[in-house]
Amino acid sequence: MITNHLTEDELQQYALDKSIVAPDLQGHLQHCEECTAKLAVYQLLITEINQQPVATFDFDLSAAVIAQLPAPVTKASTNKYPVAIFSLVAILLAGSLIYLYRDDLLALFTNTNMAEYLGIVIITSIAIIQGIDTYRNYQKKIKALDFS
Amino acid sequence: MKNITGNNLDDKYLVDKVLAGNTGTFAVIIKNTERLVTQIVFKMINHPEDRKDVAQDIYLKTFNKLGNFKFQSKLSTWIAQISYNTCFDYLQKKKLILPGNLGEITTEEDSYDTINNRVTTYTETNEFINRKEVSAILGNEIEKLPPVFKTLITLYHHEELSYEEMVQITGLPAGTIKSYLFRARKKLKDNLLLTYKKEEL
Repeated sequence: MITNHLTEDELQQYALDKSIVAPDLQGHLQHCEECTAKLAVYQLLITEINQQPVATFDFDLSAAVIAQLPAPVTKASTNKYPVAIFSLVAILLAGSLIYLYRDDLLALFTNTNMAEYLGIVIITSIAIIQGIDTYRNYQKKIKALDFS
Repeated sequence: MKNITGNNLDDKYLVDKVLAGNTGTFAVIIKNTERLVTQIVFKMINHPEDRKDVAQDIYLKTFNKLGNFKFQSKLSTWIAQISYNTCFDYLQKKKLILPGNLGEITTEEDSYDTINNRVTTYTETNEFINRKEVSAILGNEIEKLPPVFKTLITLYHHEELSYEEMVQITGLPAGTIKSYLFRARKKLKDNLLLTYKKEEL
């Protein structure tokens, strides 16, 4: 057993966790009233520190912060795989039709007058414009349905 | 002590959702870390209105920097680090703390002996000490400590953080943290006894 009194550091360590203090020091504590008394103060102090009330804000911090955040970034929740597959099938189908009816299509452009050409161009342009418009409407609706 | 690497999966899920544009999930992050952030803000800053502004500023900074979070620590530790740095910047801006000086504690080495001469033993003293009184005195004495010391006491004793986490949050070496904690507890003990004796006499 040691005869020297425990240092302040040793007393604090003992008060926090007596298992990490050397057995010699523990032996000293059993016989030294002064060190035991000092230790009792530290033990009381640490107990009281641990039991101090926890600070809290008197307003809703979460709501205050969320209100200042930028608007959610809306991502078009489109699944790209079905779109790609559908496009591929459409291209293959169109290619097959052109290949099958290539003679008729060729005749269409060889035996037509100016008025017929004009009609084909107008109909094709309207079809393209309609297609773009339909796609834009689709994108708008998908954005409106964003659930995130 | 709490596990430093715990909750990383949850952290990743929450961070990814916020980064994907779901700002509502940020409210969950705030709820999960609000207690720790509040403790740091209350211990570092005294002015009630400034506390509110700083706390909001901390989370706005967190939101803006979230893409930089590397998951090398718990999200709460990272946010606590932002909290500590934001509060520290506030103190420096207000000239309440000087660079390189975290606030010194003057320990009166002889105060213990002075008190000890007046009191036969602490065991006897304890019989007189009302626990509520001790708690109130201690609460006041903690508030008198320099901000960094108060914060370390709270992080260690209330939030039960490890030294490693406290190093990450404050950027102070582990040895310095241990030394500050030791000095803070000694100061509290000395002041507690002094205050008690003053009231007794």
